[in-house]
Amino acid sequence: MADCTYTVPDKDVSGDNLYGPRICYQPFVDWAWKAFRFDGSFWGDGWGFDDCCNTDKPLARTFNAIWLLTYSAEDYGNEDYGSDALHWGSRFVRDQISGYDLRAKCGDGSANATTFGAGCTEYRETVKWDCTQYRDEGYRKCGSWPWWASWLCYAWYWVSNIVCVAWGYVASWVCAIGNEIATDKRIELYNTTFFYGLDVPGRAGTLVHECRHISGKAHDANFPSWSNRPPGKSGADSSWDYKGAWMYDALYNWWFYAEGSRTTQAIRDRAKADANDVILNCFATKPTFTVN
Amino acid sequence: MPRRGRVLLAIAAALVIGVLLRRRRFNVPDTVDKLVDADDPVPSTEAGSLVREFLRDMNASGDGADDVYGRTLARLRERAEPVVEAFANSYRAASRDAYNLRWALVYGAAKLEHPAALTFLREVARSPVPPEESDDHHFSTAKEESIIRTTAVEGLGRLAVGGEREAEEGLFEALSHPTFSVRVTAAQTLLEGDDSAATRNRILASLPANEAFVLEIRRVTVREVPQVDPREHLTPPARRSPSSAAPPPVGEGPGPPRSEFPAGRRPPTVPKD
Repeated sequence: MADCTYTVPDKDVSGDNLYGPRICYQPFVDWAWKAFRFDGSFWGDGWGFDDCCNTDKPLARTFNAIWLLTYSAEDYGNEDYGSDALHWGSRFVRDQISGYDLRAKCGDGSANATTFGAGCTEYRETVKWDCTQYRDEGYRKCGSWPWWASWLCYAWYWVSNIVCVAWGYVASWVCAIGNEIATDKRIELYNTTFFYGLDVPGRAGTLVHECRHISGKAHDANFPSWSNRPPGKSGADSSWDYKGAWMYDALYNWWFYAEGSRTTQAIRDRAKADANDVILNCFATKPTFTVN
Repeated sequence: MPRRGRVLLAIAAALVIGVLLRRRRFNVPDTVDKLVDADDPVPSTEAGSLVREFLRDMNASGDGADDVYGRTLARLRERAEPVVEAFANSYRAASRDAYNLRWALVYGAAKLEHPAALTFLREVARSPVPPEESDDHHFSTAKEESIIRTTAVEGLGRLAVGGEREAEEGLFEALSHPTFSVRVTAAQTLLEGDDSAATRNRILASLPANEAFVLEIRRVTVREVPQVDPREHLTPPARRSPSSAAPPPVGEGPGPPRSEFPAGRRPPTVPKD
Protein backbone atom coordinates (compact mmCIF):
# COMPACT_ATOMS: atom_id res chain seq x y z
CA MET A 1 0.00 0.00 0.00
CA ALA A 2 1.53 3.27 -1.13
CA ASP A 3 1.74 6.32 1.14
CA CYS A 4 -0.28 8.35 -1.33
CA THR A 5 -2.05 8.07 -4.68
CA TYR A 6 -2.86 10.24 -7.65
CA THR A 7 -5.38 10.53 -10.47
CA VAL A 8 -4.04 11.64 -13.84
CA PRO A 9 -5.99 14.59 -15.28
CA ASP A 10 -6.37 15.42 -18.99
CA LYS A 11 -2.84 15.58 -20.41
CA ASP A 12 -3.82 17.43 -23.60
CA VAL A 13 -5.06 20.34 -21.55
CA SER A 14 -2.20 20.41 -19.04
CA GLY A 15 0.41 20.47 -21.82
CA ASP A 16 1.96 17.16 -20.71
CA ASN A 17 1.17 15.53 -24.06
CA LEU A 18 2.91 18.42 -25.82
CA TYR A 19 6.11 18.37 -23.79
CA GLY A 20 6.20 14.65 -22.95
CA PRO A 21 7.82 13.43 -26.20
CA ARG A 22 10.46 16.16 -25.94
CA ILE A 23 11.80 15.18 -22.54
CA CYS A 24 12.35 11.59 -23.60
CA TYR A 25 15.90 12.25 -24.69
CA GLN A 26 18.77 10.81 -22.67
CA PRO A 27 21.10 13.86 -22.84
CA PHE A 28 18.27 16.06 -21.56
CA VAL A 29 17.28 13.60 -18.83
CA ASP A 30 20.87 13.28 -17.61
CA TRP A 31 21.49 17.01 -17.72
CA ALA A 32 18.23 17.97 -15.95
CA TRP A 33 18.70 15.28 -13.30
CA LYS A 34 22.08 16.67 -12.32
CA ALA A 35 21.54 20.40 -12.90
CA PHE A 36 18.27 20.55 -10.97
CA ARG A 37 19.64 18.49 -8.10
CA PHE A 38 17.11 15.65 -8.07
CA ASP A 39 17.65 13.64 -4.89
CA GLY A 40 17.54 10.04 -6.20
CA SER A 41 16.28 8.48 -2.98
CA PHE A 42 13.07 10.47 -3.29
CA TRP A 43 12.18 9.74 -6.93
CA GLY A 44 11.91 5.92 -6.90
CA ASP A 45 8.97 3.99 -5.43
CA GLY A 46 6.38 5.10 -7.96
CA TRP A 47 7.63 8.66 -8.50
CA GLY A 48 9.12 7.73 -11.88
CA PHE A 49 12.89 7.15 -11.65
CA ASP A 50 12.63 3.92 -13.64
CA ASP A 51 9.99 5.28 -15.98
CA CYS A 52 11.08 8.83 -16.58
CA CYS A 53 9.35 9.34 -19.95
CA ASN A 54 5.95 8.37 -18.57
CA THR A 55 4.03 11.62 -18.09
CA ASP A 56 1.54 9.89 -15.83
CA LYS A 57 4.33 9.94 -13.24
CA PRO A 58 5.66 12.83 -11.19
CA LEU A 59 9.28 12.76 -12.45
CA ALA A 60 8.34 13.14 -16.13
CA ARG A 61 5.87 15.88 -15.26
CA THR A 62 8.66 17.73 -13.48
CA PHE A 63 10.94 17.21 -16.49
CA ASN A 64 8.19 18.74 -18.64
CA ALA A 65 8.27 21.90 -16.52
CA ILE A 66 12.06 22.00 -16.73
CA TRP A 67 11.93 21.58 -20.51
CA LEU A 68 9.53 24.52 -20.80
CA LEU A 69 11.70 26.59 -18.47
CA THR A 70 14.85 25.79 -20.44
CA TYR A 71 13.86 25.92 -24.11
CA SER A 72 11.04 28.47 -24.37
CA ALA A 73 13.25 31.34 -25.50
CA GLU A 74 13.82 31.21 -29.25
CA ASP A 75 17.57 31.54 -28.58
CA TYR A 76 17.54 29.30 -25.51
CA GLY A 77 21.35 29.21 -25.41
CA ASN A 78 21.41 32.86 -24.35
CA GLU A 79 20.86 32.72 -20.59
CA ASP A 80 22.34 36.12 -19.84
CA TYR A 81 21.12 37.54 -16.55
CA GLY A 82 21.08 40.95 -18.21
CA SER A 83 18.38 39.66 -20.54
CA ASP A 84 14.75 38.89 -19.58
CA ALA A 85 13.09 36.26 -17.38
CA LEU A 86 12.29 34.00 -20.33
CA HIS A 87 16.02 33.74 -21.03
CA TRP A 88 17.38 33.46 -17.50
CA GLY A 89 14.51 31.52 -15.86
CA SER A 90 16.12 28.09 -16.13
CA ARG A 91 19.59 29.34 -15.20
CA PHE A 92 18.20 31.16 -12.16
CA VAL A 93 16.50 28.00 -10.89
CA ARG A 94 19.62 25.89 -11.51
CA ASP A 95 21.89 28.39 -9.81
CA GLN A 96 19.63 28.87 -6.82
CA ILE A 97 18.97 25.19 -6.33
CA SER A 98 22.67 24.29 -6.44
CA GLY A 99 22.93 24.12 -2.64
CA TYR A 100 19.61 22.31 -2.26
CA ASP A 101 18.03 18.95 -3.13
CA LEU A 102 14.84 18.48 -5.14
CA ARG A 103 12.50 15.89 -3.66
CA ALA A 104 9.06 14.48 -4.37
CA LYS A 105 6.82 13.95 -1.35
CA CYS A 106 3.22 13.09 -0.62
CA GLY A 107 2.46 16.30 1.28
CA ASP A 108 -0.88 16.92 2.93
CA GLY A 109 -2.65 18.17 -0.19
CA SER A 110 -2.63 21.83 0.77
CA ALA A 111 0.70 23.08 -0.64
CA ASN A 112 2.31 22.42 -4.00
CA ALA A 113 5.92 23.00 -2.91
CA THR A 114 7.94 24.08 0.10
CA THR A 115 11.54 25.27 0.46
CA PHE A 116 13.38 24.14 3.59
CA GLY A 117 16.58 25.68 4.87
CA ALA A 118 16.16 29.20 3.54
CA GLY A 119 14.89 30.57 6.86
CA CYS A 120 18.23 32.05 7.99
CA THR A 121 18.85 33.89 4.73
CA GLU A 122 15.20 34.91 4.79
CA TYR A 123 15.66 36.38 8.26
CA ARG A 124 18.77 38.27 7.16
CA GLU A 125 17.07 39.68 4.06
CA THR A 126 13.97 40.67 6.03
CA VAL A 127 16.10 42.48 8.61
CA LYS A 128 18.08 44.15 5.82
CA TRP A 129 14.89 45.28 4.08
CA ASP A 130 13.39 46.62 7.32
CA CYS A 131 16.64 48.42 8.22
CA THR A 132 16.78 50.08 4.81
CA GLN A 133 13.14 51.12 5.05
CA TYR A 134 13.83 52.57 8.53
CA ARG A 135 16.86 54.47 7.19
CA ASP A 136 15.04 55.83 4.14
CA GLU A 137 12.10 56.94 6.25
CA GLY A 138 14.57 58.60 8.65
CA TYR A 139 16.35 60.41 5.81
CA ARG A 140 13.03 61.82 4.68
CA LYS A 141 12.39 63.15 8.19
CA CYS A 142 15.91 64.60 8.35
CA GLY A 143 15.14 66.66 5.27
CA SER A 144 12.70 68.74 7.30
CA TRP A 145 15.27 69.54 10.02
CA PRO A 146 17.23 72.84 10.00
CA TRP A 147 20.31 72.42 7.78
CA TRP A 148 22.76 72.83 10.67
CA ALA A 149 21.17 69.95 12.61
CA SER A 150 20.22 67.66 9.76
CA TRP A 151 23.73 66.16 9.39
CA LEU A 152 23.38 64.78 12.93
CA CYS A 153 20.06 63.23 11.97
CA TYR A 154 21.49 61.70 8.76
CA ALA A 155 24.49 60.34 10.69
CA TRP A 156 22.19 58.75 13.25
CA TYR A 157 20.15 56.90 10.65
CA TRP A 158 23.27 55.93 8.68
CA VAL A 159 24.96 54.37 11.73
CA SER A 160 21.68 52.77 12.89
CA ASN A 161 21.30 51.15 9.50
CA ILE A 162 24.82 49.70 9.58
CA VAL A 163 24.36 48.26 13.08
CA CYS A 164 20.94 46.92 12.14
CA VAL A 165 22.15 45.21 8.95
CA ALA A 166 25.22 43.83 10.76
CA TRP A 167 22.91 42.28 13.36
CA GLY A 168 20.98 40.57 10.58
CA TYR A 169 24.16 39.07 9.14
CA VAL A 170 25.56 37.83 12.47
CA ALA A 171 22.23 36.33 13.52
CA SER A 172 21.80 34.62 10.16
CA TRP A 173 25.30 33.09 10.32
CA VAL A 174 24.61 31.62 13.76
CA CYS A 175 21.26 30.39 12.45
CA ALA A 176 22.90 28.87 9.35
CA ILE A 177 25.34 26.84 11.44
CA GLY A 178 22.43 25.35 13.40
CA ASN A 179 20.53 24.82 10.17
CA GLU A 180 23.37 22.85 8.57
CA ILE A 181 23.30 20.45 11.49
CA ALA A 182 19.55 20.12 11.88
CA THR A 183 18.12 20.32 8.36
CA ASP A 184 18.68 19.07 4.84
CA LYS A 185 18.32 22.06 2.55
CA ARG A 186 15.72 21.04 0.04
CA ILE A 187 12.71 21.87 -2.07
CA GLU A 188 9.86 19.43 -1.69
CA LEU A 189 7.34 19.09 -4.52
CA TYR A 190 4.04 17.64 -3.46
CA ASN A 191 1.57 15.12 -4.72
CA THR A 192 -1.06 15.96 -5.83
CA THR A 193 -1.07 19.73 -6.22
CA PHE A 194 2.31 20.30 -7.91
CA PHE A 195 2.34 17.26 -10.18
CA TYR A 196 -1.38 16.98 -11.02
CA GLY A 197 -3.08 20.26 -10.01
CA LEU A 198 -0.81 22.53 -12.05
CA ASP A 199 -0.32 22.59 -15.80
CA VAL A 200 3.21 22.62 -17.26
CA PRO A 201 3.75 26.42 -17.16
CA GLY A 202 2.26 26.49 -13.66
CA ARG A 203 4.90 23.98 -12.52
CA ALA A 204 7.67 26.01 -14.16
CA GLY A 205 6.44 29.20 -12.49
CA THR A 206 6.38 27.42 -9.12
CA LEU A 207 10.05 26.44 -9.51
CA VAL A 208 10.97 30.08 -10.21
CA HIS A 209 8.81 31.21 -7.27
CA GLU A 210 10.39 28.76 -4.82
CA CYS A 211 13.91 29.58 -5.94
CA ARG A 212 13.31 33.25 -5.21
CA HIS A 213 12.64 32.17 -1.61
CA ILE A 214 16.03 30.45 -1.53
CA SER A 215 17.74 33.83 -1.71
CA GLY A 216 15.91 34.80 1.43
CA LYS A 217 13.01 36.86 0.18
CA ALA A 218 10.00 35.92 2.24
CA HIS A 219 6.50 37.18 1.52
CA ASP A 220 6.26 40.38 3.53
CA ALA A 221 2.57 41.28 3.48
CA ASN A 222 -0.93 39.99 3.98
CA PHE A 223 -3.30 39.50 1.07
CA PRO A 224 -5.22 42.75 0.54
CA SER A 225 -8.95 43.27 0.94
CA TRP A 226 -9.58 42.88 -2.82
CA SER A 227 -7.59 39.64 -3.24
CA ASN A 228 -9.17 36.33 -4.20
CA ARG A 229 -6.86 34.69 -1.63
CA PRO A 230 -8.13 35.00 1.95
CA PRO A 231 -7.72 38.73 2.74
CA GLY A 232 -5.58 39.43 5.78
CA LYS A 233 -3.74 36.12 5.53
CA SER A 234 0.03 36.21 5.13
CA GLY A 235 1.66 35.20 1.85
CA ALA A 236 1.44 38.34 -0.30
CA ASP A 237 4.29 40.66 -1.30
CA SER A 238 4.11 44.34 -0.43
CA SER A 239 4.60 45.58 -3.99
CA TRP A 240 6.07 44.79 -7.40
CA ASP A 241 9.15 46.83 -6.40
CA TYR A 242 9.79 44.48 -3.48
CA LYS A 243 11.08 42.06 -6.14
CA GLY A 244 9.81 39.04 -4.27
CA ALA A 245 8.67 35.60 -5.37
CA TRP A 246 5.34 36.84 -6.76
CA MET A 247 7.09 39.36 -8.97
CA TYR A 248 9.43 36.67 -10.32
CA ASP A 249 6.48 34.32 -10.83
CA ALA A 250 4.38 36.89 -12.70
CA LEU A 251 7.32 38.21 -14.70
CA TYR A 252 8.28 34.74 -15.93
CA ASN A 253 4.70 33.95 -16.99
CA TRP A 254 4.40 37.36 -18.64
CA TRP A 255 7.54 36.91 -20.72
CA PHE A 256 6.47 33.38 -21.60
CA TYR A 257 3.13 34.71 -22.80
CA ALA A 258 4.75 37.52 -24.75
CA GLU A 259 7.63 35.71 -26.41
CA GLY A 260 7.53 32.02 -25.50
CA SER A 261 8.41 29.68 -28.37
CA ARG A 262 8.19 25.89 -28.96
CA THR A 263 4.76 26.05 -27.33
CA THR A 264 1.15 26.79 -28.29
CA GLN A 265 -1.03 29.89 -28.17
CA ALA A 266 -3.36 28.20 -25.68
CA ILE A 267 -0.54 27.54 -23.21
CA ARG A 268 0.69 31.10 -23.63
CA ASP A 269 -2.84 32.45 -23.04
CA ARG A 270 -3.05 30.40 -19.88
CA ALA A 271 0.28 31.86 -18.70
CA LYS A 272 -1.12 35.33 -19.33
CA ALA A 273 -4.13 34.52 -17.15
CA ASP A 274 -1.80 33.24 -14.41
CA ALA A 275 0.33 36.40 -14.56
CA ASN A 276 -2.73 38.65 -14.36
CA ASP A 277 -4.08 36.74 -11.41
CA VAL A 278 -0.83 37.27 -9.49
CA ILE A 279 -0.65 40.95 -10.43
CA LEU A 280 -4.22 41.64 -9.31
CA ASN A 281 -4.31 39.54 -6.16
CA CYS A 282 -0.90 38.88 -4.65
CA PHE A 283 0.46 42.36 -3.92
CA ALA A 284 -0.64 44.55 -1.01
CA THR A 285 -0.47 47.74 -3.07
CA LYS A 286 -3.19 48.51 -5.57
CA PRO A 287 -2.36 47.33 -9.08
CA THR A 288 -1.64 49.93 -11.75
CA PHE A 289 -1.13 47.60 -14.72
CA THR A 290 -2.10 44.23 -16.16
CA VAL A 291 -0.80 42.10 -19.01
CA ASN A 292 -1.56 43.37 -22.49
CA MET B 1 34.95 13.69 35.47
CA PRO B 2 33.10 16.09 37.82
CA ARG B 3 29.36 15.67 38.13
CA ARG B 4 28.62 18.97 36.35
CA GLY B 5 30.71 17.83 33.39
CA ARG B 6 28.82 14.55 33.14
CA VAL B 7 25.48 16.37 33.18
CA LEU B 8 26.63 18.74 30.44
CA LEU B 9 27.89 15.80 28.39
CA ALA B 10 24.55 14.02 28.77
CA ILE B 11 22.65 17.14 27.67
CA ALA B 12 24.95 17.54 24.64
CA ALA B 13 24.48 13.87 23.70
CA ALA B 14 20.70 14.19 24.01
CA LEU B 15 20.77 17.25 21.77
CA VAL B 16 22.85 15.48 19.10
CA ILE B 17 20.54 12.44 19.19
CA GLY B 18 17.50 14.71 18.98
CA VAL B 19 18.90 16.53 15.97
CA LEU B 20 19.83 13.26 14.24
CA LEU B 21 16.38 11.81 14.87
CA ARG B 22 14.79 14.99 13.53
CA ARG B 23 16.91 14.77 10.37
CA ARG B 24 16.02 11.13 9.95
CA ARG B 25 12.32 11.88 10.29
CA PHE B 26 12.45 14.19 7.27
CA ASN B 27 14.69 11.87 5.27
CA VAL B 28 12.25 9.06 4.71
CA PRO B 29 11.07 8.83 1.09
CA ASP B 30 7.36 8.35 0.45
CA THR B 31 5.83 5.86 -1.96
CA VAL B 32 3.18 6.77 -4.49
CA ASP B 33 0.83 4.91 -6.81
CA LYS B 34 -1.51 5.78 -9.64
CA LEU B 35 -5.19 5.28 -8.96
CA VAL B 36 -6.89 5.94 -12.30
CA ASP B 37 -7.05 8.37 -15.18
CA ALA B 38 -9.49 11.17 -14.40
CA ASP B 39 -13.02 10.75 -15.77
CA ASP B 40 -13.58 12.34 -19.16
CA PRO B 41 -16.69 14.52 -18.93
CA VAL B 42 -16.79 15.21 -22.70
CA PRO B 43 -19.87 13.42 -24.11
CA SER B 44 -19.42 10.70 -26.74
CA THR B 45 -21.54 12.51 -29.30
CA GLU B 46 -20.56 13.99 -32.63
CA ALA B 47 -20.28 17.46 -31.07
CA GLY B 48 -18.40 15.93 -28.14
CA SER B 49 -15.84 14.45 -30.55
CA LEU B 50 -15.30 17.91 -31.98
CA VAL B 51 -14.73 19.29 -28.46
CA ARG B 52 -12.25 16.49 -27.80
CA GLU B 53 -10.48 17.31 -31.07
CA PHE B 54 -10.24 20.93 -29.98
CA LEU B 55 -8.74 19.98 -26.61
CA ARG B 56 -6.16 17.83 -28.40
CA ASP B 57 -5.31 20.28 -31.17
CA MET B 58 -5.11 23.41 -29.03
CA ASN B 59 -1.87 22.04 -27.59
CA ALA B 60 -0.57 20.05 -30.55
CA SER B 61 2.91 20.61 -31.92
CA GLY B 62 4.90 19.78 -35.01
CA ASP B 63 4.79 20.88 -38.61
CA GLY B 64 1.40 22.27 -39.53
CA ALA B 65 -0.01 22.13 -35.98
CA ASP B 66 -1.29 25.71 -36.28
CA ASP B 67 -3.11 24.87 -39.51
CA VAL B 68 -4.68 21.80 -37.94
CA TYR B 69 -5.81 23.88 -34.97
CA GLY B 70 -7.25 26.53 -37.31
CA ARG B 71 -9.16 23.90 -39.29
CA THR B 72 -10.51 22.32 -36.10
CA LEU B 73 -11.78 25.71 -34.91
CA ALA B 74 -13.44 26.29 -38.28
CA ARG B 75 -15.20 22.91 -38.05
CA LEU B 76 -16.38 23.76 -34.54
CA ARG B 77 -17.79 27.07 -35.75
CA GLU B 78 -19.73 25.34 -38.52
CA ARG B 79 -21.60 23.37 -35.87
CA ALA B 80 -21.47 26.04 -33.19
CA GLU B 81 -24.74 25.37 -31.42
CA PRO B 82 -24.33 21.66 -30.59
CA VAL B 83 -20.62 22.25 -29.97
CA VAL B 84 -21.31 24.99 -27.41
CA GLU B 85 -23.82 22.68 -25.79
CA ALA B 86 -21.13 20.00 -25.60
CA PHE B 87 -18.67 22.52 -24.09
CA ALA B 88 -21.28 23.55 -21.53
CA ASN B 89 -22.32 20.00 -20.67
CA SER B 90 -18.70 18.91 -20.29
CA TYR B 91 -18.03 21.91 -18.06
CA ARG B 92 -20.98 21.06 -15.83
CA ALA B 93 -20.09 17.37 -15.71
CA ALA B 94 -16.40 17.96 -14.95
CA SER B 95 -15.17 17.36 -11.46
CA ARG B 96 -14.87 20.70 -9.66
CA ASP B 97 -11.16 20.22 -9.06
CA ALA B 98 -10.45 19.59 -12.76
CA TYR B 99 -9.53 23.27 -12.99
CA ASN B 100 -7.34 23.07 -16.09
CA LEU B 101 -9.96 21.13 -18.01
CA ARG B 102 -12.76 23.48 -16.97
CA TRP B 103 -10.61 26.43 -18.00
CA ALA B 104 -9.92 24.82 -21.40
CA LEU B 105 -13.65 24.23 -21.99
CA VAL B 106 -14.44 27.88 -21.31
CA TYR B 107 -11.41 28.94 -23.37
CA GLY B 108 -12.67 26.80 -26.27
CA ALA B 109 -16.18 28.28 -26.10
CA ALA B 110 -14.65 31.78 -26.05
CA LYS B 111 -12.39 30.97 -29.03
CA LEU B 112 -15.43 30.15 -31.15
CA GLU B 113 -16.31 33.86 -31.14
CA HIS B 114 -19.84 32.77 -31.98
CA PRO B 115 -23.10 34.16 -30.57
CA ALA B 116 -24.12 30.62 -29.67
CA ALA B 117 -21.55 30.74 -26.85
CA LEU B 118 -23.06 33.84 -25.27
CA THR B 119 -25.38 32.20 -22.77
CA PHE B 120 -22.73 29.74 -21.57
CA LEU B 121 -20.07 32.43 -21.22
CA ARG B 122 -22.46 34.70 -19.31
CA GLU B 123 -23.42 31.83 -17.04
CA VAL B 124 -19.75 31.15 -16.21
CA ALA B 125 -18.84 34.84 -15.87
CA ARG B 126 -21.61 35.58 -13.40
CA SER B 127 -21.14 32.49 -11.22
CA PRO B 128 -19.54 33.31 -7.87
CA VAL B 129 -16.09 31.97 -6.96
CA PRO B 130 -16.42 29.29 -4.26
CA PRO B 131 -14.54 29.96 -1.01
CA GLU B 132 -10.81 29.16 -0.93
CA GLU B 133 -10.17 25.50 -0.13
CA SER B 134 -6.39 25.55 0.08
CA ASP B 135 -4.44 26.48 3.20
CA ASP B 136 -1.33 27.30 1.24
CA HIS B 137 -0.76 30.58 -0.56
CA HIS B 138 1.06 28.91 -3.47
CA PHE B 139 -1.87 26.86 -4.64
CA SER B 140 -5.21 28.57 -4.59
CA THR B 141 -8.53 27.09 -5.64
CA ALA B 142 -9.96 30.63 -5.68
CA LYS B 143 -7.28 31.60 -8.20
CA GLU B 144 -8.19 28.71 -10.49
CA GLU B 145 -11.89 29.54 -10.26
CA SER B 146 -11.23 33.26 -10.87
CA ILE B 147 -9.22 32.53 -14.01
CA ILE B 148 -12.07 30.44 -15.42
CA ARG B 149 -14.37 33.46 -15.00
CA THR B 150 -11.95 36.06 -16.38
CA THR B 151 -11.55 33.85 -19.45
CA ALA B 152 -15.34 33.84 -19.89
CA VAL B 153 -15.35 37.64 -19.56
CA GLU B 154 -12.68 37.93 -22.28
CA GLY B 155 -14.84 35.70 -24.48
CA LEU B 156 -17.78 38.04 -23.92
CA GLY B 157 -15.46 40.90 -24.89
CA ARG B 158 -14.77 39.33 -28.28
CA LEU B 159 -18.49 38.93 -28.90
CA ALA B 160 -19.17 42.52 -27.80
CA VAL B 161 -16.60 43.77 -30.32
CA GLY B 162 -18.55 41.83 -32.94
CA GLY B 163 -21.64 43.88 -32.05
CA GLU B 164 -23.44 41.52 -29.67
CA ARG B 165 -25.38 43.83 -27.33
CA GLU B 166 -26.08 41.00 -24.92
CA ALA B 167 -22.37 40.35 -24.57
CA GLU B 168 -21.82 44.00 -23.66
CA GLU B 169 -24.56 43.72 -21.06
CA GLY B 170 -22.77 40.66 -19.70
CA LEU B 171 -19.61 42.73 -19.34
CA PHE B 172 -21.44 45.47 -17.43
CA GLU B 173 -23.00 42.80 -15.27
CA ALA B 174 -19.51 41.43 -14.49
CA LEU B 175 -18.52 44.85 -13.06
CA SER B 176 -20.48 43.98 -9.94
CA HIS B 177 -19.05 40.45 -9.64
CA PRO B 178 -17.81 39.69 -6.09
CA THR B 179 -14.29 38.88 -7.42
CA PHE B 180 -11.96 41.81 -8.08
CA SER B 181 -10.07 40.30 -11.02
CA VAL B 182 -13.37 39.61 -12.81
CA ARG B 183 -14.39 43.27 -12.34
CA VAL B 184 -11.02 44.54 -13.58
CA THR B 185 -11.10 42.28 -16.65
CA ALA B 186 -14.64 43.42 -17.47
CA ALA B 187 -13.73 47.12 -17.10
CA GLN B 188 -10.62 46.77 -19.24
CA THR B 189 -12.45 44.80 -21.91
CA LEU B 190 -15.21 47.42 -22.08
CA LEU B 191 -12.71 50.28 -22.29
CA GLU B 192 -10.82 48.52 -25.02
CA GLY B 193 -13.99 48.58 -27.12
CA ASP B 194 -15.04 52.12 -26.26
CA ASP B 195 -12.99 54.55 -24.17
CA SER B 196 -15.56 57.37 -24.27
CA ALA B 197 -16.52 59.44 -21.21
CA ALA B 198 -20.00 57.93 -21.32
CA THR B 199 -18.63 54.38 -21.05
CA ARG B 200 -16.21 55.37 -18.30
CA ASN B 201 -19.07 56.95 -16.33
CA ARG B 202 -21.25 53.90 -16.78
CA ILE B 203 -18.41 51.62 -15.64
CA LEU B 204 -17.77 53.86 -12.65
CA ALA B 205 -21.43 53.70 -11.70
CA SER B 206 -21.40 49.88 -11.85
CA LEU B 207 -18.19 49.34 -9.86
CA PRO B 208 -18.18 49.30 -6.05
CA ALA B 209 -17.89 52.79 -4.56
CA ASN B 210 -14.18 52.69 -3.65
CA GLU B 211 -12.91 51.23 -6.92
CA ALA B 212 -12.54 54.23 -9.20
CA PHE B 213 -8.84 53.28 -9.44
CA VAL B 214 -9.82 50.28 -11.57
CA LEU B 215 -10.27 52.69 -14.49
CA GLU B 216 -6.62 53.71 -14.17
CA ILE B 217 -5.22 50.16 -14.39
CA ARG B 218 -3.52 50.03 -17.77
CA ARG B 219 -2.86 47.06 -20.00
CA VAL B 220 0.84 47.26 -20.80
CA THR B 221 3.49 45.15 -22.47
CA VAL B 222 6.06 43.28 -20.42
CA ARG B 223 8.80 45.67 -21.54
CA GLU B 224 6.98 48.58 -19.90
CA VAL B 225 7.11 47.25 -16.33
CA PRO B 226 10.11 47.28 -13.97
CA GLN B 227 12.32 44.24 -14.59
CA VAL B 228 14.69 42.51 -12.21
CA ASP B 229 18.35 41.58 -12.42
CA PRO B 230 18.56 38.23 -10.59
CA ARG B 231 22.29 38.65 -10.00
CA GLU B 232 21.28 40.86 -7.04
CA HIS B 233 19.43 37.91 -5.56
CA LEU B 234 21.66 34.90 -6.11
CA THR B 235 22.72 32.97 -3.05
CA PRO B 236 26.51 32.67 -2.48
CA PRO B 237 26.85 29.01 -3.68
CA ALA B 238 25.07 30.00 -6.87
CA ARG B 239 27.45 32.88 -7.37
CA ARG B 240 30.42 30.57 -6.89
CA SER B 241 29.52 27.70 -9.20
CA PRO B 242 27.48 28.52 -12.29
CA SER B 243 25.49 25.55 -13.57
CA SER B 244 26.08 23.80 -16.89
CA ALA B 245 24.18 24.84 -19.99
CA ALA B 246 21.43 22.64 -21.43
CA PRO B 247 22.01 20.29 -24.38
CA PRO B 248 20.20 21.17 -27.61
CA PRO B 249 16.63 19.83 -27.61
CA VAL B 250 15.72 16.87 -29.83
CA GLY B 251 15.50 17.91 -33.44
CA GLU B 252 17.81 20.89 -32.97
CA GLY B 253 21.60 20.92 -32.83
CA PRO B 254 23.81 17.86 -33.30
CA GLY B 255 21.44 15.32 -31.69
CA PRO B 256 19.20 12.88 -33.59
CA PRO B 257 16.38 14.35 -35.69
CA ARG B 258 13.01 14.19 -33.98
CA SER B 259 11.62 11.59 -36.40
CA GLU B 260 14.43 9.11 -35.68
CA PHE B 261 14.45 9.46 -31.95
CA PRO B 262 13.11 6.31 -30.33
CA ALA B 263 10.67 6.74 -27.49
CA GLY B 264 11.93 4.76 -24.55
CA ARG B 265 11.85 4.51 -20.83
CA ARG B 266 15.32 5.12 -19.53
CA PRO B 267 16.19 6.23 -16.03
CA PRO B 268 18.77 8.98 -15.70
CA THR B 269 22.18 7.47 -16.40
CA VAL B 270 23.92 9.75 -13.92
CA PRO B 271 24.26 8.31 -10.40
CA LYS B 272 21.00 8.18 -8.52
CA ASP B 273 22.34 9.62 -5.26
